[in-house]
Amino acid sequence: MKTKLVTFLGAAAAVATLFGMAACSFRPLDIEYAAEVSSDTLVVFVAPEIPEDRKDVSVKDYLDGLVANEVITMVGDNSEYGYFITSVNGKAAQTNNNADGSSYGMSWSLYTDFFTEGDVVYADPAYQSYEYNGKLLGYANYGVSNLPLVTGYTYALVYEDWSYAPQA
Amino acid sequence: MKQLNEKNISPAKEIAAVAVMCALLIGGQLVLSSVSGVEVVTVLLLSFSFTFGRRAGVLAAIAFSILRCFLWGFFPSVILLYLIYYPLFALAFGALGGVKQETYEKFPVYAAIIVDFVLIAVSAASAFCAATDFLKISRLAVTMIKTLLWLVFALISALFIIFNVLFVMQRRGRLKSKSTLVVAVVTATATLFTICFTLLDDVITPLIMGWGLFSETTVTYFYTSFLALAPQTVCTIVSVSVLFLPLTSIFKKAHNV
Repeated sequence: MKTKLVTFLGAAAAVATLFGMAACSFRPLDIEYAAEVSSDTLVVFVAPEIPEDRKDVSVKDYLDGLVANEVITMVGDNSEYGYFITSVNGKAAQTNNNADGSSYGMSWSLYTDFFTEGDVVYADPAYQSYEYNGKLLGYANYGVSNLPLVTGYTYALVYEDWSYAPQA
Repeated sequence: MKQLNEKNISPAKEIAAVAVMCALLIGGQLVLSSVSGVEVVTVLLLSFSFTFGRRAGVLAAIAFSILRCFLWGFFPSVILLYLIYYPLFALAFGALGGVKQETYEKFPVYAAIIVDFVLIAVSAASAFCAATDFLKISRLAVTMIKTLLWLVFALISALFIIFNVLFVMQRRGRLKSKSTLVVAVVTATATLFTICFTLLDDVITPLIMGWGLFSETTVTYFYTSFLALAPQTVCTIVSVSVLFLPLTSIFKKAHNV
């Protein structure tokens, strides 16, 4: 009986700790959420002033704010590389496969001019780029949940076609 | 642990077992696909190959690698990765399952040295990546990844100590059950395979995408692959060390029906 009680209390303490840690890690961000949605294939925003002590804010956090403020709608899945966007404003990603192993489709690509920070490369315009109002944005190396939101930088979600053919 | 292999199972039963295993692998992958870093394919295929042997394991691995594409899409780099990795994985654990029982009862010194080498290499690599600035990954992920790498280091170090204590006890005739030693060997091998899966992907994907092996894009791909490698390695160590014995016990009952 005593063993069961100790086990129960231990499990309850573990669960309470997990909930406590989850509650502490959630810190609401008091910023304005705005984006330019000039068409149903483009969402662009410039990151607003982020408090100095908030180095933990991701593009996903900002997109969640845009969704909460009904600026956009967004659907996605969690993957081992983070959140993967499958649909924005009703435009869903598509994949088509050919018999020869090549494939093509439409997807939401993330671009930014936040290229590097220290030795970490966040986006690479040499790999793939997108020009917005004369500003060169590079294809993001990370998904929305692992790409930091940094004051003054531009982020663009672009619904675009892609094709892929395996190299011989 | 009674030794089993493909010779004492009927072809019909083997085909049925492979089909059920393939369904379990795809179902397991689908159910846990939204939980980052958590997977059961490794421990399921490992236990199955260990019990049913190399041939059944390789057949299940090939069927799984191809049929899963109906759910996740036919991407050549992924198909190639799976068709190379999982059959080799099944071969290795089928071979470990086919090792004579006397070998596990009196574990050879050379095999112990190999296991120790693997464990030391993995723990040293994990500690190096966690303690230095070697990993050039997003600041939003770096703390989590380094914590997981320290966890890999701690788990592998614990496994190293447990394995060597068991080995010495066995050598002195004080270890009655060899099951724990088998679990340690299998967990060490599975950990090495899991790391090799991501490293193999770091080679195959750049080659198929035409990036070149040493381009900046490939290097960035290598760093970001740690987002998957670290949690998957922790998952493998925990799931294999906890579930290997119960699963092989279940598979043996199915094998002997």
